[in-house]
Amino acid sequence: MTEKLSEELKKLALWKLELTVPPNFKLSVGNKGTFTKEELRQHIEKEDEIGIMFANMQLNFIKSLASGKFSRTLAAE
Amino acid sequence: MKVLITLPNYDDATSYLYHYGKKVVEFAEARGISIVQFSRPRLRRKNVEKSIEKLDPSILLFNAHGNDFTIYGDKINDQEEPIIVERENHKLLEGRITYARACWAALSLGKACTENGGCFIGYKVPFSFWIDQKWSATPLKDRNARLFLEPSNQVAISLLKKKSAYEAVQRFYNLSKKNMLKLVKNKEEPGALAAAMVLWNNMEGQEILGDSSMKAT
Repeated sequence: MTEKLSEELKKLALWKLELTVPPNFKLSVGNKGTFTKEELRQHIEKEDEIGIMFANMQLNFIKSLASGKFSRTLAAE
Repeated sequence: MKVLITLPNYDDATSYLYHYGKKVVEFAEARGISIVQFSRPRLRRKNVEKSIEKLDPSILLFNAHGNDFTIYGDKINDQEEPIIVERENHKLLEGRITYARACWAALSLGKACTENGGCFIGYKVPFSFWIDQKWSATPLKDRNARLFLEPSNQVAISLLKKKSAYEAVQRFYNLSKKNMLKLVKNKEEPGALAAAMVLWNNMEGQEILGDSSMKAT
């Protein structure tokens, strides 16, 4: 995988991970496995497939919040 | 109505899918719906293929790992066995309603198997969920995982209730939205925003392909 995270996105992903994910949570990502908070942190640091996927998931969510898409979706009948 | 369901159970993710898949089986059995279950040791490609050909089920429910072209079954000798593969046996799905609770399969496989009729509900992203480590041995008690797996179970249950594929997906969206609203209202609770993020990922990543007006017969 050649894709890398920008320095800003990497910092954001690590900060959001620290802030929003409790230590007892594990993320199940299909056949890629199940990852603890600490393992996710390591994957983001390494910028490997899992780290990039998790950072992009966070970025997509932030964009949806910022654009109002998330609120519009929740408000829609 | 005839239904086929796969229930692998060999890692954290499939263990949760297995327990939630069993709830779908209970629902079907309580209503006298004929549901054929494939779990270890019967969950093998040749058995699933034969069963689809012989029983001609109108609904196929796959709880599994997957990728763009493949839905997997059980892990055999440390290797996941592909049970549905594009260009090999994907035509078995044609004309039926398939729900693949599996990663990525809507990207290509879902399109291929609805070219000549049928409907495919799946994901174009990795279907993900948070597990609370305290409850990983008893998945149905894990309130975190329930936020993700209950809405996806409702896709299968709605299909069993003879709702259209479109209505089944709407049920998933509405329940996911309800869960997200609950999380946003309680955003100060540990993990609430992380859970909302992953629910959003699954919701945005779900796809319905083919004839969305199809209902099980």
